[in-house]
Amino acid sequence: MIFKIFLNCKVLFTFTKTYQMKNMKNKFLFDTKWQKYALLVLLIGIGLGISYLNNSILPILQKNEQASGLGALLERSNYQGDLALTLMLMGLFIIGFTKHKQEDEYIDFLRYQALLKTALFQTATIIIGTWLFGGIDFLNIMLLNLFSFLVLFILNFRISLYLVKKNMAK
Amino acid sequence: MKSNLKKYRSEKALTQEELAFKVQTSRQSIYAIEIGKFNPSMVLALKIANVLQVSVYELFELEENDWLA
Repeated sequence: MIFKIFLNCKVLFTFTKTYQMKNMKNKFLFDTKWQKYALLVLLIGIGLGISYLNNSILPILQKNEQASGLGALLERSNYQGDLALTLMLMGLFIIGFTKHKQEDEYIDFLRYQALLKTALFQTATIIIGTWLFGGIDFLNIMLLNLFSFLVLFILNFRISLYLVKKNMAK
Repeated sequence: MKSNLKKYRSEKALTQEELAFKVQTSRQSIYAIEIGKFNPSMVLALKIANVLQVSVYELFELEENDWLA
Protein backbone atom coordinates (compact mmCIF):
# COMPACT_ATOMS: atom_id res chain seq x y z
CA MET A 1 0.00 0.00 0.00
CA ILE A 2 2.72 2.44 1.04
CA PHE A 3 4.74 1.46 -2.00
CA LYS A 4 1.72 2.21 -4.23
CA ILE A 5 1.33 5.67 -2.68
CA PHE A 6 5.04 6.26 -3.19
CA LEU A 7 4.75 5.28 -6.86
CA ASN A 8 1.78 7.61 -7.34
CA CYS A 9 3.69 10.47 -5.71
CA LYS A 10 6.63 9.76 -7.97
CA VAL A 11 4.40 10.11 -11.02
CA LEU A 12 2.80 13.29 -9.64
CA PHE A 13 5.97 15.06 -8.64
CA THR A 14 8.30 14.28 -11.49
CA PHE A 15 8.25 16.38 -14.59
CA THR A 16 8.69 13.52 -17.03
CA LYS A 17 5.16 14.00 -18.33
CA THR A 18 5.49 17.73 -18.91
CA TYR A 19 9.20 18.26 -19.51
CA GLN A 20 9.74 16.26 -22.65
CA MET A 21 13.41 16.42 -23.44
CA LYS A 22 12.88 14.41 -26.61
CA ASN A 23 11.12 17.38 -28.17
CA MET A 24 13.89 19.70 -27.02
CA LYS A 25 11.25 22.21 -25.94
CA ASN A 26 10.82 23.58 -22.48
CA LYS A 27 7.15 23.26 -21.54
CA PHE A 28 7.42 25.72 -18.67
CA LEU A 29 7.97 28.72 -20.90
CA PHE A 30 5.26 31.13 -22.01
CA ASP A 31 4.31 31.39 -25.65
CA THR A 32 6.10 34.07 -27.73
CA LYS A 33 2.88 36.05 -28.24
CA TRP A 34 2.68 36.71 -24.48
CA GLN A 35 5.72 38.97 -24.70
CA LYS A 36 3.91 42.04 -26.05
CA TYR A 37 1.17 41.76 -23.42
CA ALA A 38 3.83 41.36 -20.74
CA LEU A 39 5.54 44.51 -21.98
CA LEU A 40 2.23 46.35 -21.72
CA VAL A 41 1.67 45.04 -18.17
CA LEU A 42 5.21 46.10 -17.24
CA LEU A 43 4.71 49.61 -18.64
CA ILE A 44 1.39 50.00 -16.76
CA GLY A 45 3.16 48.80 -13.59
CA ILE A 46 6.02 51.29 -14.09
CA GLY A 47 3.49 54.09 -14.73
CA LEU A 48 1.56 53.25 -11.57
CA GLY A 49 4.82 53.00 -9.62
CA ILE A 50 6.03 56.41 -10.77
CA SER A 51 2.69 58.04 -9.93
CA TYR A 52 2.76 56.28 -6.53
CA LEU A 53 6.19 57.74 -5.80
CA ASN A 54 4.86 61.18 -6.78
CA ASN A 55 1.98 60.68 -4.33
CA SER A 56 -0.70 60.82 -7.05
CA ILE A 57 -2.89 57.90 -6.13
CA LEU A 58 -5.70 56.75 -8.39
CA PRO A 59 -9.06 57.17 -6.59
CA ILE A 60 -10.06 53.57 -7.35
CA LEU A 61 -6.99 52.30 -5.48
CA GLN A 62 -7.59 54.46 -2.42
CA LYS A 63 -8.51 52.52 0.72
CA ASN A 64 -11.89 53.56 2.07
CA GLU A 65 -11.71 52.39 5.65
CA GLN A 66 -8.79 53.90 7.51
CA ALA A 67 -7.51 52.43 10.75
CA SER A 68 -7.35 54.71 13.71
CA GLY A 69 -4.74 55.11 16.44
CA LEU A 70 -1.51 53.15 16.33
CA GLY A 71 -2.85 50.87 13.59
CA ALA A 72 -2.97 53.81 11.15
CA LEU A 73 0.82 54.13 11.32
CA LEU A 74 1.34 50.54 10.21
CA GLU A 75 -1.53 50.14 7.79
CA ARG A 76 -1.35 51.09 4.13
CA SER A 77 -3.61 53.88 2.90
CA ASN A 78 -3.91 52.64 -0.70
CA TYR A 79 -3.20 49.68 -2.94
CA GLN A 80 -1.35 51.46 -5.75
CA GLY A 81 2.14 50.47 -4.63
CA ASP A 82 1.10 46.81 -4.29
CA LEU A 83 -0.55 46.79 -7.68
CA ALA A 84 2.43 48.52 -9.33
CA LEU A 85 4.88 46.02 -7.86
CA THR A 86 2.69 43.04 -8.79
CA LEU A 87 2.30 44.23 -12.39
CA MET A 88 6.00 44.99 -12.75
CA LEU A 89 7.05 41.58 -11.38
CA MET A 90 4.47 39.76 -13.51
CA GLY A 91 5.58 41.64 -16.62
CA LEU A 92 9.26 41.00 -15.98
CA PHE A 93 8.65 37.33 -15.21
CA ILE A 94 6.73 36.73 -18.42
CA ILE A 95 9.28 38.70 -20.49
CA GLY A 96 12.09 36.67 -18.93
CA PHE A 97 10.45 33.29 -19.39
CA THR A 98 8.87 33.61 -22.80
CA LYS A 99 9.90 31.32 -25.62
CA HIS A 100 12.38 32.80 -28.06
CA LYS A 101 11.27 33.07 -31.69
CA GLN A 102 13.61 30.21 -32.54
CA GLU A 103 13.48 28.36 -29.25
CA ASP A 104 15.77 25.35 -29.20
CA GLU A 105 18.20 23.62 -26.87
CA TYR A 106 20.99 26.17 -27.40
CA ILE A 107 18.70 29.07 -26.49
CA ASP A 108 17.61 26.99 -23.48
CA PHE A 109 21.27 26.52 -22.59
CA LEU A 110 21.91 30.28 -22.83
CA ARG A 111 18.90 30.92 -20.60
CA TYR A 112 20.18 28.44 -18.04
CA GLN A 113 23.63 30.07 -18.10
CA ALA A 114 22.07 33.51 -17.61
CA LEU A 115 20.05 32.18 -14.65
CA LEU A 116 23.21 30.73 -13.08
CA LYS A 117 25.21 33.93 -13.59
CA THR A 118 22.42 36.02 -12.06
CA ALA A 119 22.08 33.68 -9.06
CA LEU A 120 25.85 33.83 -8.55
CA PHE A 121 25.85 37.63 -8.72
CA GLN A 122 22.91 37.93 -6.32
CA THR A 123 24.46 35.54 -3.79
CA ALA A 124 27.81 37.36 -3.98
CA THR A 125 26.03 40.70 -3.42
CA ILE A 126 24.29 39.37 -0.31
CA ILE A 127 27.52 37.91 1.09
CA ILE A 128 29.49 41.12 0.42
CA GLY A 129 26.59 43.20 1.77
CA THR A 130 26.50 41.13 4.97
CA TRP A 131 30.11 42.04 5.72
CA LEU A 132 30.15 45.64 4.51
CA PHE A 133 26.75 46.99 5.50
CA GLY A 134 24.46 46.85 8.49
CA GLY A 135 21.06 48.08 9.60
CA ILE A 136 18.94 49.94 7.07
CA ASP A 137 21.70 49.88 4.40
CA PHE A 138 21.73 46.09 4.47
CA LEU A 139 17.95 46.05 4.29
CA ASN A 140 18.15 48.25 1.18
CA ILE A 141 20.62 45.85 -0.42
CA MET A 142 18.32 42.94 0.39
CA LEU A 143 15.37 44.77 -1.16
CA LEU A 144 17.36 45.66 -4.27
CA ASN A 145 18.50 42.05 -4.53
CA LEU A 146 14.97 40.76 -4.24
CA PHE A 147 13.59 42.85 -7.08
CA SER A 148 16.62 43.08 -9.36
CA PHE A 149 16.84 39.34 -10.03
CA LEU A 150 14.45 39.32 -12.98
CA VAL A 151 15.92 42.50 -14.49
CA LEU A 152 19.48 41.15 -14.25
CA PHE A 153 18.43 37.78 -15.63
CA ILE A 154 16.68 39.35 -18.64
CA LEU A 155 19.69 41.62 -19.32
CA ASN A 156 22.10 38.69 -18.99
CA PHE A 157 20.10 36.52 -21.37
CA ARG A 158 19.58 39.27 -23.97
CA ILE A 159 23.27 40.23 -23.89
CA SER A 160 24.35 36.61 -24.47
CA LEU A 161 21.90 36.33 -27.39
CA TYR A 162 23.22 39.61 -28.83
CA LEU A 163 26.84 38.46 -28.48
CA VAL A 164 26.12 35.19 -30.28
CA LYS A 165 24.45 37.06 -33.14
CA LYS A 166 27.31 39.57 -33.27
CA ASN A 167 29.94 36.80 -33.40
CA MET A 168 27.98 34.98 -36.10
CA ALA A 169 27.92 38.11 -38.25
CA LYS A 170 31.74 38.37 -38.14
CA MET B 1 34.48 17.20 -27.60
CA LYS B 2 35.83 17.93 -31.04
CA SER B 3 33.25 18.82 -33.65
CA ASN B 4 33.76 18.00 -37.32
CA LEU B 5 30.42 19.51 -38.24
CA LYS B 6 31.83 22.35 -40.32
CA LYS B 7 33.87 19.91 -42.45
CA TYR B 8 30.94 17.59 -43.20
CA ARG B 9 28.53 20.48 -43.71
CA SER B 10 30.88 22.03 -46.27
CA GLU B 11 31.22 18.66 -48.02
CA LYS B 12 27.45 18.55 -48.43
CA ALA B 13 27.49 22.19 -49.57
CA LEU B 14 24.97 23.22 -46.96
CA THR B 15 24.86 26.59 -45.28
CA GLN B 16 24.35 26.87 -41.51
CA GLU B 17 20.88 28.20 -42.20
CA GLU B 18 19.95 25.27 -44.44
CA LEU B 19 21.25 22.68 -42.01
CA ALA B 20 19.46 24.41 -39.14
CA PHE B 21 16.21 24.31 -41.11
CA LYS B 22 16.63 20.60 -41.92
CA VAL B 23 17.21 19.60 -38.30
CA GLN B 24 14.59 22.06 -36.96
CA THR B 25 16.95 24.12 -34.88
CA SER B 26 18.36 27.66 -34.95
CA ARG B 27 21.39 28.87 -36.89
CA GLN B 28 22.86 29.97 -33.57
CA SER B 29 22.90 26.31 -32.42
CA ILE B 30 24.73 25.13 -35.54
CA TYR B 31 27.26 27.94 -35.16
CA ALA B 32 27.80 27.17 -31.45
CA ILE B 33 28.27 23.45 -32.17
CA GLU B 34 30.75 24.18 -34.95
CA ILE B 35 32.97 26.37 -32.79
CA GLY B 36 32.73 23.90 -29.89
CA LYS B 37 30.83 26.23 -27.58
CA PHE B 38 27.89 23.91 -27.18
CA ASN B 39 27.47 20.14 -27.03
CA PRO B 40 24.22 19.10 -28.69
CA SER B 41 21.77 16.65 -27.16
CA MET B 42 21.79 13.11 -28.44
CA VAL B 43 18.62 13.74 -30.44
CA LEU B 44 20.09 16.77 -32.21
CA ALA B 45 23.42 15.01 -32.81
CA LEU B 46 21.59 12.05 -34.40
CA LYS B 47 19.45 14.36 -36.51
CA ILE B 48 22.51 16.23 -37.83
CA ALA B 49 24.31 12.94 -38.51
CA ASN B 50 21.24 11.72 -40.36
CA VAL B 51 21.01 14.80 -42.56
CA LEU B 52 24.74 14.81 -43.32
CA GLN B 53 24.71 11.00 -43.81
CA VAL B 54 27.64 10.33 -41.51
CA SER B 55 27.87 8.55 -38.20
CA VAL B 56 27.82 10.47 -34.93
CA TYR B 57 31.33 9.14 -34.22
CA GLU B 58 32.60 10.82 -37.39
CA LEU B 59 30.79 14.03 -36.58
CA PHE B 60 31.96 14.33 -32.99
CA GLU B 61 35.13 13.02 -31.40
CA LEU B 62 35.84 12.58 -27.74
CA GLU B 63 38.95 14.32 -26.51
CA GLU B 64 41.29 13.36 -23.67
CA ASN B 65 39.84 15.89 -21.23
CA ASP B 66 36.31 14.58 -21.83
CA TRP B 67 37.31 11.52 -19.79
CA LEU B 68 38.34 13.62 -16.82
CA ALA B 69 35.69 14.21 -14.18
